[in-house]
Amino acid sequence: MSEIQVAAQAVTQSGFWWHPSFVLILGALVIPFLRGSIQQGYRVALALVFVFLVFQTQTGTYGQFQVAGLDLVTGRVDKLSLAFAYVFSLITLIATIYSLHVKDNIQHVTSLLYAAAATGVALAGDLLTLYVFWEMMMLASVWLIWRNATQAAYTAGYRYLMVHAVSGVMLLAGIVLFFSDTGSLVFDQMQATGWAFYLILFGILINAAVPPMHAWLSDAYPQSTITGAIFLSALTTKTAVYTLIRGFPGTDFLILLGVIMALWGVVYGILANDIRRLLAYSIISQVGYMVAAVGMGTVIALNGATAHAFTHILYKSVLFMAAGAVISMTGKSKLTELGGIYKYMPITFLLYMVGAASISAFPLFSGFVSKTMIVEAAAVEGIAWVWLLLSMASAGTFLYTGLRLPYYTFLRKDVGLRPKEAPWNMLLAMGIAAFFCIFIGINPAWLYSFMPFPVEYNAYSAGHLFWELQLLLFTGLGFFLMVKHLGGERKLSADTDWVYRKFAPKVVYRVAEWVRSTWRAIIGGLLGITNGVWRSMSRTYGDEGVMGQTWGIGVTTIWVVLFMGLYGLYVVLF
Amino acid sequence: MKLSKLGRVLEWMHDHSKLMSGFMLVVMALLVIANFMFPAGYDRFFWESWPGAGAVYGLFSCVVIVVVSKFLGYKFLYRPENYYDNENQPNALTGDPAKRETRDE
Repeated sequence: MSEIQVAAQAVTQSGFWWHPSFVLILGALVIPFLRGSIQQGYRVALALVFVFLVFQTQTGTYGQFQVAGLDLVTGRVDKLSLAFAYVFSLITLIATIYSLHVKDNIQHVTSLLYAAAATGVALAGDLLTLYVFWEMMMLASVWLIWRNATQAAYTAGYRYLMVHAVSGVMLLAGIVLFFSDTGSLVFDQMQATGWAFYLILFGILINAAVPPMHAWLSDAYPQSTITGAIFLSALTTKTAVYTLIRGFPGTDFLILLGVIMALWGVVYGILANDIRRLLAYSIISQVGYMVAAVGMGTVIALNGATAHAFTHILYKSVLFMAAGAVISMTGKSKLTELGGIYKYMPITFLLYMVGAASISAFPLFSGFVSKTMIVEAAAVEGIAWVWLLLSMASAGTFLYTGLRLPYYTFLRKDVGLRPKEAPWNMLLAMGIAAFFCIFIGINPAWLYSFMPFPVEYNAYSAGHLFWELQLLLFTGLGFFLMVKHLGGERKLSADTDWVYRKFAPKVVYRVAEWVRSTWRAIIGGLLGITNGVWRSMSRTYGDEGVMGQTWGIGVTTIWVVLFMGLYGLYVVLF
Repeated sequence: MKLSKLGRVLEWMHDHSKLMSGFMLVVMALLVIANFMFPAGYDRFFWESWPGAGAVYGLFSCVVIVVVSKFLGYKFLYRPENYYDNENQPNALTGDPAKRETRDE
């Protein structure tokens, strides 16, 4: 046994380990007892401690214990889980800085619990631990929607909760079946088949926002609080991507789902009017790349999915933060109501463009070194349709996130808005995230060193540079040729949430209506029969009936005498 | 309202958008010309070795995406902005509960 193995085993057996999630959870619960600048300082310090704990975590197995005969592993740390934990901790710090000015203890606590739960999922070594953190994520994150305190946010949050409850139930059912099939709870590449496999997979796919069960995302995220959106955009879908990479690499039909997803996001992104809804659709589109990569399941594809999740969280946070800054400084959130504010919010505008260049995969920005890896994986596999359609989605991403949104939000005509530049803490948070976008773009080796497998991919080849630059710049040409048709429209685009927001309520109402009217008919019929009996009886015995009449005293006497006479005859004769 | 220095630089660029777009067009032309001189070096798919393929596919993608999206939008997906407003008025869909009991009497 080598020394390293001995050391690793010693750590495992000592069993003591500062699980970053537990530290963050305990730390978050203190926040409501603090006030003012002490609270602000504490939140930043807590996020920094979290980042520190995650980054100093070594690979190995920690926090093993037994409950009721089940082997639980709260800390299975390898390169894949670390890559996700790193970026989750970074985004926690960035979003904490971004929300420094907010005075809402519920949001402060739940956002950190949410981040802790997401990290807990990434580090979970068994399915039960994973499930507990999975549900905790849902319960914590919904408050980031509800605390926006509008009626729309309340109903959207409620739907968000319902959809994720379905995801949780499927996951739990799958885990129970998995346990009864295999007798183990270890979470690794799924060995199960049949129901256990598909229940767990579909539970995860709901969280990954794979069509048709993706509409919770574009429904809820635009209604969330400005600062909550940063946490939301980073965590839920990416934990799902992590579990897919871990459990389901090489599941063929995910390639098709991923490609559909990437294009689905593009279509709705072109139609969206609300800027945060547009960005929500671009999450769906980008996660599509990762899902497709998981479907391919090769080393380069899984590296690509991990790398893209990492860069995606950072550039997407820049975009959501800039959009949030625009909304909080102008009070407007629709393309049709915005315009001409670039010179009043120049820093926000430029930082947004850094995020936009990253998501569009411009060379020297982070998306280029991760997205092209997934497209390259399709080329290595020789699947032309995936390669072409993902390239098309790439052009589409630039079209609506990199051109349409900034053009109609910041440029276009001046609509009379005179916003101030965003506050310093928002700019700082955006700046940190934007720094990482550029840093990863020019120094991809830093990112690649976190990948689960050794990376032998060079993004900056002449072929990639030529293809990507031409693709994007000529998409830009197309945009300016058709710019008149690409503005926002005062409309809403129906998505699959139509099924449970319009169609299902109508069906339920119809059924309720039918049950009600049928019930009334039955009751009415029974009443009719009873009435009939009543009426026919009252004809004889009622007030008007023969038996219902009162008789005069004379008539009564005659009848009595008659019957007594008859009785007398009976006695005498027999 | 007073503009920051950065705001003024951006305003100048915005006011000279003709110049900026001219510059971009020159860059794009040079890019395609350069592609003719330096081949991409990939041939896993037949189009990868064609110079300028990215430019053609980019423009094509852009047109396809816009046309298809707008078609789907106008034909199937667009709804009025208040389409889901009934959710915010609890009884608009199911009616006023007080009236519902008496409506079909």
